[in-house]
Amino acid sequence: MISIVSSRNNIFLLILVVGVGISLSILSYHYSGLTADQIGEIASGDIRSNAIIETDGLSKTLLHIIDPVSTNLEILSKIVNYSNIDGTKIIMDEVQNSTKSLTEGYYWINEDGRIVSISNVNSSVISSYSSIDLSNREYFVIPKETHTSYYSSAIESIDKIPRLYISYPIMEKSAGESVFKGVIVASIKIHELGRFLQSELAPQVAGNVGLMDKNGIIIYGSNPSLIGKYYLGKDFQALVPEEIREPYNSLLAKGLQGSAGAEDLILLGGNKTTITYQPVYIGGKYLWTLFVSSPHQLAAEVGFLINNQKNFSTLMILIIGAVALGIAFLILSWNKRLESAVNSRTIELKDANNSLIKYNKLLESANEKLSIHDKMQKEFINIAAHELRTPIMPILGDAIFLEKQFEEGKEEVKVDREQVSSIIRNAKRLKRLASDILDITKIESQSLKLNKERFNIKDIILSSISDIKTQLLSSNPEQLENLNIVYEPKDIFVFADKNRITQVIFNLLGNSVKFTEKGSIGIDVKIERDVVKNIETVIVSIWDTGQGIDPDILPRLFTKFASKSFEGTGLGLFISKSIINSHNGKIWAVNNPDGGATFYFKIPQQ
Amino acid sequence: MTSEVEINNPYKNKMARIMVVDDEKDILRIIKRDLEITNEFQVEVFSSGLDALSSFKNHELGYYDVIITDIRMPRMNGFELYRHIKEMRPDTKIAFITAFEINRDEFTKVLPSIDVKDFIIKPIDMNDLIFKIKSMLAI
Repeated sequence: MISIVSSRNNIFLLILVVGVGISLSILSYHYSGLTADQIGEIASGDIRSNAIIETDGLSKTLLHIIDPVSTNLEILSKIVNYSNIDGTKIIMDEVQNSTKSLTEGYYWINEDGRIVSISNVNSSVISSYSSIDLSNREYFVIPKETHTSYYSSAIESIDKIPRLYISYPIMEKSAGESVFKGVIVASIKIHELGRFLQSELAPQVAGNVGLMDKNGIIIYGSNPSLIGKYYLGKDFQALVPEEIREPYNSLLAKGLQGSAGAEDLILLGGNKTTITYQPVYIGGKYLWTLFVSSPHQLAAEVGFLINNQKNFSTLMILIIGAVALGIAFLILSWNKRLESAVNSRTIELKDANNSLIKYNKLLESANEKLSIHDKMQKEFINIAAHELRTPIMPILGDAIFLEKQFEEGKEEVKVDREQVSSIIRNAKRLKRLASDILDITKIESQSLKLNKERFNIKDIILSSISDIKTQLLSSNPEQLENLNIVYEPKDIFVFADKNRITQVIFNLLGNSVKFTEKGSIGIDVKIERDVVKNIETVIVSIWDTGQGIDPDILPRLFTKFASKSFEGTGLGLFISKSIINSHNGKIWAVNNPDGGATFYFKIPQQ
Repeated sequence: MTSEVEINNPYKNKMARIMVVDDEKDILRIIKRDLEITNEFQVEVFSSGLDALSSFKNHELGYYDVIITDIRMPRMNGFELYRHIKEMRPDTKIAFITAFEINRDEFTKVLPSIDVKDFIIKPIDMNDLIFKIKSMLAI
């Protein structure tokens, strides 16, 4: 039970770890995303307002650059003197020197459109230009017509250099009426203006500045080849990516309406750019529009960085989660392995314990058997000792008695018959005991070997009867006279140990004689079929009309020292049983209903 | 050795009557002969417990001074005889003859109801037997 609970806990732990890991990843990803968007938005807003401020500043800078030129032109237009051309030229040279970083030169053109003087150019060169009619040029026509200053768009001259022209009319008051007397023109190389702008602008802004006049002619841009080109013309449009062309063009158009503004443009690839437009007023007139594009590089970078951070942190959390997961799995599998190892060890232990218990039981029963055997052995030795000592005493008693008489100085000692008989009798008893004990030892050590042969059972019965009679004749002739031994000789052959079977028959016959003071003893032999074993068996029965078997003794009749009789060892029946058993036979005894006992034994015939 | 026993015997002039019970006739014959030859004991032998008990019953108190019985005998063994006699006359002096390999402590352990004064282990040394009978008589 414990192991199951712990494995459930482990799974719960695992799920918890995975859940926390996933939640953290999602949270981190989400939060990082929010942060990135917010920071991007903040950065974009910042960039936008910065761009507006920058553009405003830039338009002011532009004014500041252009202003001195305008002022110079205004002054020159007022002080030019057709009667003192050389004097005026000196002033023109001075003015040019003051703005030479921007202006190419100042031109004095008379009311007919002919050059009067050019700053920093000697008179011979000027006279070579004087034949050129400039009266159709805008910078001449417009001031002539309007009597106001003129700011041109980018104009390409013959030398393909785009230029900006600013012109002021020369007005002479006569009779209360202003009379047009020509123009003062300043020519500005747009490249110079751009260079100037660039030097004035912060480097990160400069590349993104565009200047268009109110007509949509590009005055300045990062790409010089576009200067002087119309923004809807094919040169410029070719550079505008197809995808953003429409919003881009509409944005530029809006910028050319003379008001300030800012708009975000999503470029290709998702990058955002804020385009700020600011009108530039010079001399109170709307002339140009300044465009500044501020790519949201920083925001994009910040966003990118944050995205990276986000991805990185998410990845880290995922990795940590994976590692945690791996560790959890490892712990889980390790636990499982440990658990299964413990389980298998427990089973092994149980098995070992069980087998130990089994062995213990076996050992116990073996011990019990051994102790029973030991007890029996001890008992046997005890009784055997008893039986051995008993006949020694009369032998020793008589011998010592006789010896004593010799000790008393007698030369001859009278020995009576009883003494001699007693010595012989007890010595014989010792002999029988020795032989029986030897047999017992053989039986108990299971080394009783049978020498089987085919013999006629009649022969051994007859010889046993003859031996018993001989024995009785010497020991108890009176009993022999009162005994009738009955046997009808019949040839029955058996395959067995002849000597051992003789021993059994002699023993049983001897027993019957012992307990039958007078009467009959009979021996019968018959062949009977054992239907269970499907063999022929020989059954020998020895009956008597004696005192029978003590009912107390009957159950243990065939054990060692069960009965005791005069001249008996108490071992005969035990030995007989062992002999019959080793022939795969059976021995038993019953008390006859009309007195006496019958002993039976049965052995296979073959 | 015989003369020594005679000198130390306070009952020299009084014949003690000894009952000996054993199923071994040869042993009875020898014990009777060897005890009586000392002229100090009058011995009556019985080859079974039953015979001995009936004789004991048939005589007056104190007829037998000492009873010596074998233990292992058919029908009535020495312990049964002991109990029967003690039931009738508890102060009767009884000794056992045995060929068993046993000492008094072991015996008491196995059969605590029997108060065993003496054991005479077979084969009997007649001098020992005489000494034991005399010491039992002296109590």
